[in-house]
Amino acid sequence: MSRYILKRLISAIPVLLLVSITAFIIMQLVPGDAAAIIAGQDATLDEIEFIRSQLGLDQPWPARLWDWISGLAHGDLGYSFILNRPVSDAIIERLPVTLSLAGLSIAFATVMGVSLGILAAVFHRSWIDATAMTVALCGVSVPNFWFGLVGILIFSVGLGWFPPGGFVSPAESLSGWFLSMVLPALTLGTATMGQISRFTRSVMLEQLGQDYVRTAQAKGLAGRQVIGKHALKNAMIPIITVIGITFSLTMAGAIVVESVFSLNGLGRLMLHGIMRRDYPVLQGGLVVIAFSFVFINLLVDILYSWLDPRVRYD
Amino acid sequence: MTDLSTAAPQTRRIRLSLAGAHWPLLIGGVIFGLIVLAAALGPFLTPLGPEDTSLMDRFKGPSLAHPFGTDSFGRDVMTRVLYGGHVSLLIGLAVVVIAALLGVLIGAMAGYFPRLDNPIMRVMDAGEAFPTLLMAIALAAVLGPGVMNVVLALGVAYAPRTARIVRASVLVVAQQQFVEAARASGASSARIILTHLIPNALAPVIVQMTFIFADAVLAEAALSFIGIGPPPPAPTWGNIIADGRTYLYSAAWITMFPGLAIFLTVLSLNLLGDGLRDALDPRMKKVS
Repeated sequence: MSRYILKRLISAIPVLLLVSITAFIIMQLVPGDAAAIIAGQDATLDEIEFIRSQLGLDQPWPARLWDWISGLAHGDLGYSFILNRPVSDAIIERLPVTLSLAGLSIAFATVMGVSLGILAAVFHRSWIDATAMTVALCGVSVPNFWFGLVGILIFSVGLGWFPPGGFVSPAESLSGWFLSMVLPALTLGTATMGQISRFTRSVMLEQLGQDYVRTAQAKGLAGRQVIGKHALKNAMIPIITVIGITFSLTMAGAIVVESVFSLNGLGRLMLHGIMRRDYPVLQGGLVVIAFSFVFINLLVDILYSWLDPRVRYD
Repeated sequence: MTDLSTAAPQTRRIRLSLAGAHWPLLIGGVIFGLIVLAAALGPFLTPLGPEDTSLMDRFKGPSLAHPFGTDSFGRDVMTRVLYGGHVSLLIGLAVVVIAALLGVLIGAMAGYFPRLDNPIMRVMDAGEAFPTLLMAIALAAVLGPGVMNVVLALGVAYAPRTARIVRASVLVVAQQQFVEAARASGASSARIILTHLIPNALAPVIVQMTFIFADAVLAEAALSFIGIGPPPPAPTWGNIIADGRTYLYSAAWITMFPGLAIFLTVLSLNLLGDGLRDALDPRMKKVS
């Protein structure tokens, strides 16, 4: 097991390397003189030159790429002249907000999505199936930022149940934190919920048609046990894969949803980075999100072999 | 004669499987068709222009004269939604075309040339490690706002997904005997790829294109909403919502109608994709 984990960790290194290079290349597409853009319009030539040398832009690209990669290996994501601090500091400061949002939204999407999917599969071709799948289809089709605005209009302005935006630290007030997160998490989780429930339904239908399910039913096992202990357990591996994949959807969606609810998370940091042409922040944020995606999928892979002893990859 | 008798049941089977899946296909097709028609005929459906302002008519709620109300400049929201649909749908279509061309080309190369397979697919892995929307946001942010940049950013971002599907199909088909026969009779690699491998991968690609269209409409709207899409005053569904957001509490209609338009478009495309998948892939039909 530990050998397998080690092997998977090592195999992630080339992907991480490629991801870092991709982020580097994207930033090279900036048209014109990045140093002049960052320095602003009324900067002196000396200031521009200073930023240029600090960012290493006066060096040839292989040297810059090497600096970037070796910096990453030490946890150095670069320096933002606009924020006047290391990019990693700025990101770490914003991380609790984004992690709260992403965590709660994935939790909601998983619980709701898996339940809807199971209901739809068990009551196949009934009105329950039709209703559940309509909800799921609407979930994947609704633009999340618009859904969030509608939510604010109904539940904050109309009913006054939740604040229309802003983040409350859980250290400050746990209930305040939860209330401030309900609407954003639902908004962000809706699409994921739809995907997970559509997928859960098809995997469960496949399992429910298998011989072992018929055997379990034939020997008189209660319906709940057949579904929960037999079919769902076997359906869990593909479902977990999809949850891992939707993590990327969640992180990208967070940029938009944080903007709707004025949450100062990683997404909003990157968005401000875009507006202020703070390219180091954008590059750092990109790499953090892509790295976390790679690691989540690694975790999913490792989870497989733990869930299903038959899965051995060596 | 024998040809005819074997061909007949085949066509019947295809028709049957289409009939079995006709529900989502039909509803999705009709709704999407109506939306495309409305967007295409937009200029004829409304006497106003999308950028015609009328300071006397600011923030009017929905009425007979302005079915979707008016915005902060007194512009007719329905006119803007119709014209915005034009832009949003064309962007979606262009994204699909670029993603499909790139994806088919890259996927076919990876599937057909074993030496290229690993390097190409690792690059695709790296591309896919960035969430599609995030990749598009980064590219659009770096390239600067503009319709072409949004199209390019989204097209490139969706290409790996298509490439993966084409590669999988090419890998299977390339092993089959008729490909070997074609190669033995002297067909070039280009000919084999173009006339044998790509056509066989087309069904899943068409299904995928429908879903990418749906995704691209959502993504374009999101890009416009956060301010890095096609710049105003030209309307897109996303930037009308971004505009209306400031007046959400007092003039909700500015936000509601373009959002509904996006929702219906994406919903109909998803239905269409589901229906096409069921019709084209009988194996999936058994499950759903």
